[in-house]
Amino acid sequence: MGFHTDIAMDQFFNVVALGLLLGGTYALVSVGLNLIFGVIRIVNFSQGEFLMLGMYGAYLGYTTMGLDPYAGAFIVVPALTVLGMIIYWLVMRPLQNEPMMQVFASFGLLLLIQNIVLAITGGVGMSMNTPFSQITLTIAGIQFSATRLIILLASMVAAGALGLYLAKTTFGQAIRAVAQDRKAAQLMGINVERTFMWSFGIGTGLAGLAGVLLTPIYTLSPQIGGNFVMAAFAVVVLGGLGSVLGAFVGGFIVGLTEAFAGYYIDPELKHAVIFIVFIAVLLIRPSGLFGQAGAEEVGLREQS
Amino acid sequence: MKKLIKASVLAALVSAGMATIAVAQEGTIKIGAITPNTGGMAVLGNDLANWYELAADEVNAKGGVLGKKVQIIRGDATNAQEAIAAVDKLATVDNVDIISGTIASFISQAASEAAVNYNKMYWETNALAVDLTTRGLPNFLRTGPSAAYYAMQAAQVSKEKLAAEIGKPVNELKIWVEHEDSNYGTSIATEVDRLMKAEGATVQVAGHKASAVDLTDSILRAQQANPDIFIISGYVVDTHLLLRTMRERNFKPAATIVIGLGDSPDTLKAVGAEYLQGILVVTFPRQAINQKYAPGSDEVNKAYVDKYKVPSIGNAGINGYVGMQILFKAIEATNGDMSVEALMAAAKAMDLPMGSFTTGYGVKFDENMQNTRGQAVTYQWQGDSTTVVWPQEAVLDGVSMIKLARP
Repeated sequence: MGFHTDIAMDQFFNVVALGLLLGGTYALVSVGLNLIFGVIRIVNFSQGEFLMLGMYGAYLGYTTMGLDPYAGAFIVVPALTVLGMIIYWLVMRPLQNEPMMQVFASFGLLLLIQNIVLAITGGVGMSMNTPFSQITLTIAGIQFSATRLIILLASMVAAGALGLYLAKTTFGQAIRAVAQDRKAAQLMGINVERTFMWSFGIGTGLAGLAGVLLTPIYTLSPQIGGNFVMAAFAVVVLGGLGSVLGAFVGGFIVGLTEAFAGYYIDPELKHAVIFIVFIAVLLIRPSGLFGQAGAEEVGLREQS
Repeated sequence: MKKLIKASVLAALVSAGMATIAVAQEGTIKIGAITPNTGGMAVLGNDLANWYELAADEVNAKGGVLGKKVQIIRGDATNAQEAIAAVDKLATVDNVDIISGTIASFISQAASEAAVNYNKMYWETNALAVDLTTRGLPNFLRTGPSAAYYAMQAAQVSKEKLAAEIGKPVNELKIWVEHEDSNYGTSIATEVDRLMKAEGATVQVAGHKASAVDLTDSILRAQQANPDIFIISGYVVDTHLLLRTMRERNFKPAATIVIGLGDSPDTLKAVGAEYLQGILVVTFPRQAINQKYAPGSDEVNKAYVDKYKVPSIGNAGINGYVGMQILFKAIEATNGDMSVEALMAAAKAMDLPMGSFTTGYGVKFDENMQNTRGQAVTYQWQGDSTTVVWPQEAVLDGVSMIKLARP
């Protein structure tokens, strides 16, 4: 009798651990998306492709320079930040007054980036086996994969750092001001376009960071961005648009729901369960758990 | 009289000579090859088209089929719409006699149906979905194994070899089949389930999304069930994720069978040689195989590298190569009549024993025009590569199945 309870408890804690680790992954992937969403009010469909580029960037560093992906992050993340800024300036900025067009443009970017990578790599799956990929830690009888634990820590650092940056630095406050009311911010002397450019860049850089940290876990393919970004959209809307804390907490809600539904109900039904939770939260709080009121009308309402 | 005979003989020779020249000039057998040469399956598609061309080159070097040169004309298709467009072009602009392909079942489905409109034979060598041959399409047959044959091989190796290695009678075996939830994975899983349940084994079938971010829940559940044999039927990304998660969780069933893939250098990188040791892979026969079972496969693999400067990827290409050779035989049997009716009749009449071709295949089509003598084989990871371990006739001398349960 006690034996069964022990095993059941063991499994329970394993599932909780899994949910938290998964939550860390979703939180990290969503933080960048949420920034772009919250500040520029763009639904960036190409966010998953920046994640994918981060993965391929890490892979490139590994195969050409023998760089462990964690070291490669120091090159890949700034590179993707710059790339994001350039893409914002060339593609999104001209469409500034057409939010719907910006959405379509981001979708066009998705196709463009995916197909460029497909053409270069031929679509072959590529995997990395780094020293970290093989490590599993056992804490209090529960197993944690080292790579996912690192992602969890990174998500906390990223969310924390971003939150502090937005709250304490001048430029961070400028970003928040623009997010709240871009016309007023402009009147206050803030260069709105530059703020947008930086926000987009930080958003894509964070996606790249997520990609780099995910490389030891997944086999790369040009289409892999889509696997994460769908969940990321759910996380961002659930947690609340424009709220860093919201994206963070939302990630854990989705991660834990997925882990519990997958183990106790059925792995094939876990996505259905996530969406039921998603709908339930939105029915109660349309702007998401921590979202700013009115955020649910992003993209549909004229920015005042 | 002598003069007359001489003149007649001369006339006969001259006309025969002229006829031969005429045939040689007019005779090219054009075969359209529909493969995904771009997009996510580009490497596989190009590989298959390469193998078709290799088969064509070899037969042309020997004078062609019925004295006619064989020409492969490539058509690129990554989805159903492109498949239809490719068939349109091949049938009209390129005026091909026969269309072949295809790697992906959903592409084959569309292409073969389009080929009906032009009354062209669709000679399928590779696509796996069972319903391609049970559709009742009048112009369709398949020379290579279907997904059902993959399932059959997994069941056979479990029944005839693994049960003994594990030390349990077949009807006491516990089997877990983990499959990706599209038609491909599900059809294989369902067939394995049916075959093993018929033997009295306990089978659990579990599905997952190929695009899932995490598959730990699937592995935790399988671990709980503690199966003797763990069978995976998925695509590359999810299969690698499953194997990595199994390694992470220290999940080591007595036997693990991966169906359809998992034998590439990339799998080695993804999972690591240590965990892979002993893992079985059911796939088309190609390398590290007994040359009595698969005659000439070593030479043909080398010929591929000589021509294309890179080794072939995966095992699907050589299956297509053999399919093309079977087609040449069929054309010979019809004496050059490449109509659907003639080719179907010739194919139906073919009866060649196992071992007739480089992959160890024979030819005998069933009532649905599925070749019943196209078999998958079972490989095992030993060291840094895979080698055939089942059926016994296909195993290289000196090779045996290594211990299954890892310490």
